[in-house]
Amino acid sequence: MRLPRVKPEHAPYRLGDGTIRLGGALYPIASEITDDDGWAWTALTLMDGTRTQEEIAARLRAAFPDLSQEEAEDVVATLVASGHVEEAAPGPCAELSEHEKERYSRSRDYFRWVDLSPRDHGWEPQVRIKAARVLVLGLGGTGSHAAWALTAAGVGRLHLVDPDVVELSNLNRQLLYTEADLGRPKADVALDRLRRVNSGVRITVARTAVDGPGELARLVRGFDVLALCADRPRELGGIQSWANEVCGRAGMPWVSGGYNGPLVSVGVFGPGGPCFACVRAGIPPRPGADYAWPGVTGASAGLSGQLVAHDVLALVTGLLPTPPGYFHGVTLLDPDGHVYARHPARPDCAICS
Amino acid sequence: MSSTPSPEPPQERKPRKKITVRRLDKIEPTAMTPSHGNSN
Repeated sequence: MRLPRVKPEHAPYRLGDGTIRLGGALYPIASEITDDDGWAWTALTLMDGTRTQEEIAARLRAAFPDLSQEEAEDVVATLVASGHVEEAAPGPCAELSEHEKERYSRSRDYFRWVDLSPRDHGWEPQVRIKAARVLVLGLGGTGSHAAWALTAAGVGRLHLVDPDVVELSNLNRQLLYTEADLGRPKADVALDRLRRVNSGVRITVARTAVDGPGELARLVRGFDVLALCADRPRELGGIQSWANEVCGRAGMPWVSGGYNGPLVSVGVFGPGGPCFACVRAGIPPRPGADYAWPGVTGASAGLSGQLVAHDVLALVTGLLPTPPGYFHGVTLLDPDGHVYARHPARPDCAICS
Repeated sequence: MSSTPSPEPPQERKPRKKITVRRLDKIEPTAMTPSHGNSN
């Protein structure tokens, strides 16, 4: 790193006992440094983007003569590698236009905040999003929000599949449709709306129902990630099992989201982790709790769709917090509640073992 | 007769001065199981 600068979102502060806190209090970003002698605080203060690592080490030695040259350089290198510091003189990013850089400036700020890897110019996650090809199955409560979020994020290529038309009862939660769209195919309306959200995304649609794993295998060809937002056929052995089989055999990551009234859960699967069937097999059955009652508001639908989009973006940017192979989510009825399930691959699983 | 000079006593190596960055610990939330039969 040529000119290190502490990321503004990670600004250091002293806790009063010689400890420095960086990155606020956000797990797993925030960290602490015991700094009884003041080396780290001094080095961090010098990291304002105007000095090289060598200059910072030299200033540190001048302030603390008992530090050797090697020790001063080591203090600086440790801070540079911590993820709290960025390059203040970034190299060029030819893959994005100036218009795109302005459009996605807040996304870049977000990724700078949460991405602890050293980066050349900080646009690397956005470049990966632009190169991504995502298939969205289903444009209902979950899929309409997911498709909007992926379009707004600047995914390069989106293909949206849904066989249904817009109905009046959809309008309490399905983001892309208005009263003027009643009776129109959801795929066509979504295409119109999303092209106006982001003309830089290549979007295509199909008004078809997926009738089996063969059809799904044909659809996923040429895509990097599947966002499964459809719920038919719902039963075990239905569309989620088809996705598990097709994506598992293709080595393709996929995300599946939905809701059960106030309970929102999203699954993230892909190479390197247990498959959907293995994780499901480890979740104890809850008789009577999993029927698909129709009750839902915009909050459940929006949360599930936005979490699907978030996980797709995490997969394509390489910023998934843990290896795939888990469900996560929230319940609206319990502010302290948190949905999470991960179970190991079964030894006899043909998909992931 | 020449005498071999006695070796100098080994110098005590000072511990290297360094800093350590420690990530904050996770606070575990309560965990529920996901729904088996989602709608969309």
